[in-house]
Amino acid sequence: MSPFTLLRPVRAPLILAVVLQALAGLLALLPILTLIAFTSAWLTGATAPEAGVVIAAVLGTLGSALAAAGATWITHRADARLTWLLQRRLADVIRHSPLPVVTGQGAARLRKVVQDDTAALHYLVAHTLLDATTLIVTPIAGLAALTIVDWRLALVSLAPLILGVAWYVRAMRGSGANFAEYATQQQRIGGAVVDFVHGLPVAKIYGDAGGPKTRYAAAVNTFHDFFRAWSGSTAAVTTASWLAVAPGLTTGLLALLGSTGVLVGWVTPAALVAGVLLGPAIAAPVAVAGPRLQAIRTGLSALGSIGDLLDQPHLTWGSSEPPLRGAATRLEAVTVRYGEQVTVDDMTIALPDRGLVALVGTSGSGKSTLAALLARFTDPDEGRVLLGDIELPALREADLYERIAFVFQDTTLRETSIRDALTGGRPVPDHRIVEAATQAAIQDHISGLPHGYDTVLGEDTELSGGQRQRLALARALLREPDLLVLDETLSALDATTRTRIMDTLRTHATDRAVLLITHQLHLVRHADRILVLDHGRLAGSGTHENLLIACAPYRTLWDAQKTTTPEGSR
Amino acid sequence: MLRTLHRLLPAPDARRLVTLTIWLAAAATLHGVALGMAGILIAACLDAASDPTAWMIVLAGAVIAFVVAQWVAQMVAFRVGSSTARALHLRLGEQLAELPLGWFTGTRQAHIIDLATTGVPQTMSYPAILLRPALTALVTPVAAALTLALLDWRFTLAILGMTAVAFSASRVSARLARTVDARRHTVSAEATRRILEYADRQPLIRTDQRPEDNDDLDHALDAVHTAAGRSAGTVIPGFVLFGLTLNALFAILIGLGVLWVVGASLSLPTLLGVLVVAARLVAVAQSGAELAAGLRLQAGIRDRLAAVLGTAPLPHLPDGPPPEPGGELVHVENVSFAYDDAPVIQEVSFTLPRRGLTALVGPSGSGKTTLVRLLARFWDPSAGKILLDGTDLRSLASEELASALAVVLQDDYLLEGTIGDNIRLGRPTASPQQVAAAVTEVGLDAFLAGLPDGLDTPVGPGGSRLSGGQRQRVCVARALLKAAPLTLMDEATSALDPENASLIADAATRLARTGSVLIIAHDLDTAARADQILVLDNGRIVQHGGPTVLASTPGRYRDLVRDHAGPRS
Repeated sequence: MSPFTLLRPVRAPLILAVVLQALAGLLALLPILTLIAFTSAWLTGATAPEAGVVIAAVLGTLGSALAAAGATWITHRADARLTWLLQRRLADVIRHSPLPVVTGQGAARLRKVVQDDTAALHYLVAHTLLDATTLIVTPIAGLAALTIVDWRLALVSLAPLILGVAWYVRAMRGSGANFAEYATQQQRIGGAVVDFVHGLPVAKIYGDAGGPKTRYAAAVNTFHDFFRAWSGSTAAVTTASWLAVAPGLTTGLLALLGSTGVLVGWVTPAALVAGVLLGPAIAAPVAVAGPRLQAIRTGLSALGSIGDLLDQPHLTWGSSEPPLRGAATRLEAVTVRYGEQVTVDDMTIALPDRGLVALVGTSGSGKSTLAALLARFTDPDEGRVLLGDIELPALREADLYERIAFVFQDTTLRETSIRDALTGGRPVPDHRIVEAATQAAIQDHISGLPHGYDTVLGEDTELSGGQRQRLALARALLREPDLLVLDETLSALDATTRTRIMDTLRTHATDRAVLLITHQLHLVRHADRILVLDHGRLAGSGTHENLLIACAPYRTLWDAQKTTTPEGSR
Repeated sequence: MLRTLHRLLPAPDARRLVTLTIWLAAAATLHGVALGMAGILIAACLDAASDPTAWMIVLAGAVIAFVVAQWVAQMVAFRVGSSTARALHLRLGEQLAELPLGWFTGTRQAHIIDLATTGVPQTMSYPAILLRPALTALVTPVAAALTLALLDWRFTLAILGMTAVAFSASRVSARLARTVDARRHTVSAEATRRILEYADRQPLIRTDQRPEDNDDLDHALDAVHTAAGRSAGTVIPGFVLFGLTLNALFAILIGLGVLWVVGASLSLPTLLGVLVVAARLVAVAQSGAELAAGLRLQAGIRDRLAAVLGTAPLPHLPDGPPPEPGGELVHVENVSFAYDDAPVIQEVSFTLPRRGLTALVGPSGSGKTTLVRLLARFWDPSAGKILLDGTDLRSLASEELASALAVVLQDDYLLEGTIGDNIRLGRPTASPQQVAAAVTEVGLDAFLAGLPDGLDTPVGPGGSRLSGGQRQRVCVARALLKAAPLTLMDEATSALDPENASLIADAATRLARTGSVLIIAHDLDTAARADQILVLDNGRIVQHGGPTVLASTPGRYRDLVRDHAGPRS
C-alpha cells in the first residue's frame, strides 16, 4: 500500500487547503506589486495608478490572511478526522491481529505507531503541507513577476538560488549513511544510559560505579566524535548554502548589480526597485528547505509504518456450529515461528476430553506458545488446532472462548466490581459465584472486603498478583469450559492455597480437560498425563512414573529440581 | 534559554557559548548594516542629484564584512554545538552517579533515558541552527534601522518601534500556539492511553467477548475527534496574528512615508530605499518566528535537564564522635520515613548483630522494602538515625558504605557483560574456585554446565538472555561472593521455584555464620530458620524475637504461621 492511500479520506480538503494557501501566497505579493507599480509610474513620469490599485493591495493583505487562516483551519479539521479514522482502524487491528503483533514483542512497535507516528503525521498534514506550499508558491510568483519587469535581474536573482541548492545537495550527499550511523550511535547512548540508570544501585553497592558510567561516557564521546566529524565535513558547504541566500547578501548583490545596470543604462530605475523588492525572496526558501524536507521525510516514514501495521493480516473467524459439549482439543503437526526461531516444531498432541494434563518443560521450550495457540491468540504457521473436529478458525470467536477458558500468568482485570469481573457481564446466580470463588480460594478474601462482591477493583481495593490469579481462576471456572488452560498460574501462591487449588482442579478435571502449564514438577506428579516439551517438540507423554523411565528430558528436569531440594522429593 | 544553558555548562563550555554569541551578534549587526546600505544605495541610485558610486563601494564592503563574520560565527557555532551537547551529556552522567538511589523511580529512569538519547542530542542544533536566526531576528532590524539614520532618522525611530511591536506580537502568538499545542497534547495523550490500554487488555477482551469493550474505546476516540475538530479554529490566531501584524506594520511604514512625501519633508527615493530594507526585515522576522517552535521544544529539554542537574545529592554529615568498638553492627534508632508526606516507616528501632540471620516479615505494603532500602541509603530517614558500626550512615563516604554492604534487590539488574563478570562484581579478586562455589550454592552450576561458554556467556542487555530466576540467582551469587559484613536480601527468591528458593535460604543461613544477613521473606520456612524475626505492619515493628518464641506468642507472627500451615503434599 502506498503511504498516500492512507491520506485518501482527507484528499479533497487537503487539496482545497493547498489551493487556499497558494492563493494566500499570491495575494501576499499584491502590496509589493502595487508599490512597484507606483514607483514605476513616478519614475517614468506616467500617471499614477488609480486608487483601486491601493484598495486591491489592502484587500490582498486581508485576503491573504483570510485564505491562510482558512487553509490552517481546514488542515486541522482534516488532521483530526484522519487521526480519528486511523485510530479506529488501529483499534480494529489490535482487536483482530494475532496477539504477538500488538502485545509483548509487538507492544513497542504499536506504541511507536500510536504515539510517535501519529504525532509526526499531525505535523505533516496540519503544518508541513502548508509550509511547503508557501515555500514553493512565493518564489515562483516572485520570479514570474520579476521576469515580466526585467528578465536580466530575474536571472541575477536566480544565481543565489542555484548556488544555494547546489551547495545544499553537496552537503546532503552521503547523508543517508550518516543519518543511519547517527541513529546507531544514538541507540548506543540509549543502551549505555539504560544500563547506567538501571544498574546504578548494583554498581554503587558493588563499588563499580565507574563501570557503567565509563561505558556511558565512552558511548557519549564516540557519538560526539562521530557527529563532530560529520558536521565538520559538511559545515563549509552547509554554511555556504544558506549564506548564499541570506537576505543581506542577495539584497546587496541585486542592489550592486542593479545600480551598475542603471549606471550603464541596461536597467531602468523602476526595474531596480522591482528587483531588490522581489529578487531576494526567490532564493530565501533554500535556508529553511532542510528542516522542511526533514519534516516531510519523517511524515512519510510515519505514514509508511502506520500503513504497515494496518496491513497486518487479521485473524478471521468462521460460522461453524461448535462441536457438542465435552469435545476434546488437539494439535496436528503444528509449527510456529517467530522470525528465524522455531518455537513449536511439528507438534501433534491430542488432549483427552477430561482429566488433569500437565505441560512441563524448560523455559523457552514452547509452553506458552502452546497456550497462545489454544487461545487462538496466534495461528500456527503450519498445521492446525482443532476443537472436536472443527478447526479453530472455522468457529465463531465467541464460541471458542465459551469452550476453552484461560488463566494467564499476567492477569489484568478490568476496573469494575468483583462480581462483574467474575461473570464477564453474564447473568450468573450468586450461589454459583460464591462456589467458584470458594473453589479458587479467594472467597474468604472477597467476603472480608467492605463491599464484598460489589467492591470495585483498582478503586476500592488493590489485589496482589496471587489474588488476581485466583480471581481469574474463579472467572474461568464459572464458564464451565470443555478445556481449562492455566499458564504458570500457581507461581505466586503460598503452599496452602496451592494445595487447595490443586484439589479444585482435580475435581473439575472429572468433567473436563484441565491443562496445567507449570515449571513446578512436584505439583503435577500425580497428573493423569504429563506432556513434556523440549525445544519446541513433544519429548514425551505419560504418567510421572512412565516418563521417569522412558523420557530423558523429563528425567533431567526432575533430577534438576530434586537435587536442588534439600529434603529430596517431598 | 541562553542564560540557563550557560548556567548548566562547565566554565570552558560556557565561555565558548559567550564567544559564539558575540560572533553571531557581530554577524547579525553587519547583516543589518549591509541591508541598510543597500537601501541607501537604492535611494542614491533613484535620486538623479547624487552619485551612487561611493555607496556602491561601501555596500560591497559591508556585504563582504557580513559574509566573513557570519562564516566565522558559523564555524564556531558548529564546534560549540557539538561541544555543548557533549558537555551536557557528560555532566548528566556525573550527576546521575551522585544522585540518591531512591531518586531513581521508574518514571524518572524513563525520563533520564529519553533525555540522554534524544533530548541532549537535540540541543546540538541550538547554537548551530537556532541561535543564529533568533539573534538575526532581534539584532539585524536594530542595526538596519540605525544605518538608515544616514537617510532619515525618523525611519530609524519608526523601525525600532515596529521591531518592538513585532517582537511582542511574536511572543503573544507563540504563547497562543503553546496553549493550543498543550491542549492538543492532552487530548491526543488520552487517545493514546486508551488505545494502548485496549491493546494491553486484549487477552481479557478476547476471552470475555463483551461488546462494550469496543464501544468504550469507540466512544473515547469519538470524543477526542469531536474535541479536536471543534478546536481546529483555535489554532488560527496563533498562526495568523504575527504575519498580520508584520503586514500592518509594513503598511503603516508606507503610510507614514507617503504622508511625509506629501508634506514635502521626505524625498521619494529615500522612501523607496527605506521600503526595500523594510521588506527584507519583514522576511527576517518571519523566519525568526518560524524557528520559535524549535526553541520552544528546546526550552522543555533545558528545563528537564536543569531539574535533574539541580537535584541535590544526599547530604554528608560531619563525622560524629569516634565509634566505640564492639557492640551490634547496625543500630536503627527511631527511624521514620515518608514518601511525599505519606508515612511509610514510623519510629522503627532495632539492631542487627554482627553475625546472624534476621528475617523481616509482614504483609505487602507494610514497608519492608523501604526499610531495607533505608539501610542501603537509597534515601535518608526523615527522622531518627541509622548507625553502621557506630557511625551514622550520613557521615560515611559512599565507598565506605558500599564496602560494608551486599544487596540483592527485588528488581535487580545485571550489568552489560558476562555472567562471570556480574558475579565477580561481588569480589573482583575472587579465585575461580570461590566463584564456582558461589555458583553451586545458588544452584546455577547445572545451568552453566549446559552453556557452551559457561561463565563467559554474555547476559544480554539488562540480563535479558537469562530467565528471571537465573538473574536472581546470579545476583545472590554476587552477594555471597562479596561476603560483606551486612547483606540485605529483598525478595531474593520471588522468581524461583520452592526448591531453588530453599537453596537460597540455605546459602543465606550459611552466610549468616560469618556476617549479618537481613532477608525479606514471604516464605515463612525461611523465617523459621532466622535468629531473630522482625514483624513489620503498617510501617511499625509490631513483634520482634526468635522464631520459636514468636510462634508460641499470640500475635501477628503466630497468625501468619497459622495461615501458612496446612496439609502439605
